[in-house]
Amino acid sequence: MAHPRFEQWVFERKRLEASKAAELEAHLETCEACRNLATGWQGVEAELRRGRQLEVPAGFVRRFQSRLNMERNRRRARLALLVLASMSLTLMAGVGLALAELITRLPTIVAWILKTIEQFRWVGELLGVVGDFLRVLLESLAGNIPALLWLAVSALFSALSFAWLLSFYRLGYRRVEKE
Amino acid sequence: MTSTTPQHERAWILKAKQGDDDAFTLLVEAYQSPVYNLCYRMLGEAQEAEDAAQETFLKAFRNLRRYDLDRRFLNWILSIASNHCIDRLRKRRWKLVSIEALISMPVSREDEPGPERHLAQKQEEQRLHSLLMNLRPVDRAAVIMHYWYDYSYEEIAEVLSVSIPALKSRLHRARRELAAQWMEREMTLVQGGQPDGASAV
Repeated sequence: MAHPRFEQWVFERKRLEASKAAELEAHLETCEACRNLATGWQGVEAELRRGRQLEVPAGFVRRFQSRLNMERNRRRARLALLVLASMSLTLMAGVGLALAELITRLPTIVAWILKTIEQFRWVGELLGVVGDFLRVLLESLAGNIPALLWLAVSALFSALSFAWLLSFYRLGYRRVEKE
Repeated sequence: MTSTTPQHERAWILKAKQGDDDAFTLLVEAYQSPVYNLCYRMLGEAQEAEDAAQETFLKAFRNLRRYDLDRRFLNWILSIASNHCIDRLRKRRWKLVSIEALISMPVSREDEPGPERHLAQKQEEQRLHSLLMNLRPVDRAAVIMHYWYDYSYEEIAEVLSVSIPALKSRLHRARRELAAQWMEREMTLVQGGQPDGASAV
């Protein structure tokens, strides 16, 4: 049978007032369960008192410091990874947005290019007119100039071309060679 | 152990809060013994106790900004240690502790005992350990703090985050269980049997 009051007194036996201590002693004489509890607790208390302060394994602080450093490095690596991942995501989002914008505006851009080309069509037409004029001029000249004159003009152009090339050679290439 | 005064302690904590590792190392040096001893009494294995003690200091380092300077640092660090050990014990609830682990207990170097004394100390430790290991983790923490750290009910209740009546009830139950176990073991010894520490765990 449990006697909570006496059980509590057993655990606080040393701090009990004299009257309570006497009452407890009287109860222990008659109650075997509480007597066993008192004996058992006495033994436990003695063992608890004998329990020594254990020495911390040598190098505990050093090991803690290296563990702290490892933890720091791991945290830094995690942070770097996080920054890298967020930068990649931002870049990807930016490229995606730019592409989407480009696709949306593609017809406008194509239309602008075509319009620009259209604006420059008159240049082509002008060049065509000039070409036609030159062709007619050359045909009429070829029909009217004698063959000997053609030979003389060709020789003159060849001589002028040779003199031109020679001037390049003398003014440029040879001076460099001397230096 | 580094000697510490409340002024020193406060200065170290303030410096550590500002990220000074050396100041925190001084705190580790000062409190390694109580933290390690609590972990050892809670877990019963030297290697696991050291690991738990190291984890305790790491957790303290991570949460130092949240530490209230009005609170006693030892109480704060012991509350981290006890909660960490309770978590570990809950995780390994179904895992048996080997006899080898119980035997490989660290011995105090205070008196450098001879082989006989050494063996006797080991046996004492084993007996004590097998008694404690049968208690619930929180009850065990309460008993350890009450009997090894001389903590008051108020301090233990604060460390374990329980009310004082709940703590008293836990301590009462734990003492009853310890006394019953002790009697049972003595009866077995008287009858010539061998108390089995491992099976008790």
